[in-house]
Amino acid sequence: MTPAVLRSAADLRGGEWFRLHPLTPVLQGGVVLLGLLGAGFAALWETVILRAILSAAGVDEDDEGSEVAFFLADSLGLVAAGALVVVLASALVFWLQWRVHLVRMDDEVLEVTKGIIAKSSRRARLDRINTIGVRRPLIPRLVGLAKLDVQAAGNDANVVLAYLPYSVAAAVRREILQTPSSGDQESKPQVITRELEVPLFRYLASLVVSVETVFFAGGFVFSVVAAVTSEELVAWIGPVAVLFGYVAYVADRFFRVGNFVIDSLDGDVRVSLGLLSTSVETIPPARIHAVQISQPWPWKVLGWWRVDANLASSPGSQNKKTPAHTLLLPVATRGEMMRMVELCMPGLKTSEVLGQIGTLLDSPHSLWSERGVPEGSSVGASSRAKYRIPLSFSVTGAAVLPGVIALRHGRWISRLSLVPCARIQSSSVAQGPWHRVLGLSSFSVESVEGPVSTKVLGLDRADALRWWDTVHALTVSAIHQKVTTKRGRRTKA
Amino acid sequence: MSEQMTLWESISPRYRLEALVHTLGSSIFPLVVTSVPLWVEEPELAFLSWYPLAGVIAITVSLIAFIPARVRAYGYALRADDLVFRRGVIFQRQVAVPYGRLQLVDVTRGPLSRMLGLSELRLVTAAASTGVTIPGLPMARSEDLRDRLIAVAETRRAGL
Repeated sequence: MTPAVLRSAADLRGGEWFRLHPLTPVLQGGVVLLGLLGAGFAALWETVILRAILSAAGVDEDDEGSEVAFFLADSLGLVAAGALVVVLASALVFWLQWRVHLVRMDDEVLEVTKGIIAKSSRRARLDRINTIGVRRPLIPRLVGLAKLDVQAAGNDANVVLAYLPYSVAAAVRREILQTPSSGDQESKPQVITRELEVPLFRYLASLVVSVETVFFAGGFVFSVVAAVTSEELVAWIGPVAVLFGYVAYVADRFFRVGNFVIDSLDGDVRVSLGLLSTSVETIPPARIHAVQISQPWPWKVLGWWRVDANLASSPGSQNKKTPAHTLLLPVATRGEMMRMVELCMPGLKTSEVLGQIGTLLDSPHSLWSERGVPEGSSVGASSRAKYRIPLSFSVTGAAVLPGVIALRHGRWISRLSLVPCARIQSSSVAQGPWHRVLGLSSFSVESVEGPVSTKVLGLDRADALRWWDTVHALTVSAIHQKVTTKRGRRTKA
Repeated sequence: MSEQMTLWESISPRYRLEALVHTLGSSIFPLVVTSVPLWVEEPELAFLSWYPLAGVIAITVSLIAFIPARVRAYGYALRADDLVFRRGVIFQRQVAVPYGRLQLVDVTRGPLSRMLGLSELRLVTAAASTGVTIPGLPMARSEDLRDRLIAVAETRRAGL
């Protein structure tokens, strides 16, 4: 019995073995071979191939090359035949590998076997699967194929299905996510809503209007001055290198993160990005442990914001090549940013809370000074903090929003971190010598690893300790709530 | 029992010896490196003289002088819903870890702490920055703590 090629995701349900797309060996091996051939050609061009062509055309050059080169040139046909044999042999190997690379799925596991000599077989339990990403590198994308990256709980427990037609990959992804074990809802069709799109031009503009540009400009001016004063032509390499570096930097960011799209499907957030190679990841809000809204100073006039998140076990971090999906919005207007916060934290869906977030971003001091409005719901840095954080003491502080702790700090780069109480791992109060002298303390909540900063400096010692108790009480009650609802659900089932 | 009252428990005073050995051990390398100018008679190295060595010795001595205070500063308490932990003399930190957030409780003991009958209790949550490691606990105490913490964490587990 020979397994069939996987043509539609519905077939996969039956538990039969299937092969991946027949172009797989071409893509996996072909690219490598193409590279090898190119390299070989480039290496031999000058000494061998060109010479052979010239001698065939009757143009005799003065012999500078070695005898080996002459010998090779004479037997170029033989060399080409040898290369062809190698190519064919490896094509055969890749084809055989494709033949034994099989995938199977039933109600409980997704299983992949591969390898001719070193066989490997991998099973991922469907209810242990965290996320499934559809990745589309450039060349497979041109022929309409995609890679499915299945991340299961546990270290290095991922299964990669390469390559599948894009539509099949997307359907398989849906199929896996809808298995009865991974969610208790019936397999109702998913509603995908296009939420946000970052316009390409705005993204490019945001790359140009940035702190990095200022750094590069500084480096450029410095190197030009150095070149002029040294009065040597070689020194002009400096400014050229800086310019080149800047263009490369902007282009890299532009191609990797450009075309940023946010969709929502059944409450999950789907992030797609990449201009040439696209990468898609669906993030359930339960994986979002903290969200940070930030605004570097060059964006203040333009009113742009950036949104990052700390994600539980983000698969992107294992592989340096795929951009980390902790970036939720590279550049957004005020309204888009607020929409993103709503998507990430469904508990915050009231306009009043969003208004509070707006106040925290624009004029936090007004919130700190309104003492006792709702008792203990916000705390600002002490006025003594100006000796510790001279620039940002007036904007630094923290506030309780329904179910979420908000931490605000930073003047040059304004930051607002939102951490749901139900995700806080622990909270702490710390004091270094300088804080001690001023009678201050820093407060921080601990979240999973990620780009979000969750610490505020310069609170009054008493305020910090009171705040510590408040946050801590909220965390504990959030845990109690979660445990009881979980129990309730289990007993119902 | 009121929740506001925190009864801090301190760690074993025997930990001072362990801390002393650790401090001395970690100062060996800087001491050797900075003492190079003393036993190499190279005129080109003369400018190094003995200042770095004096600096290292001063730092080591002050670290040793702080050991009793540092050991006394360690404290932990099991409250109704969480474990609180404090440490540090110059850089102080106190942290509250809800029991429901505990993922793992580790008891480790090196050769030295085994000789002293001590061990180290490490609490692991999903956040690496929680950083609660209680050193200098008598062996029986840390095992008892571990079992109790795991039992409580089990009943209040909220996972991620």
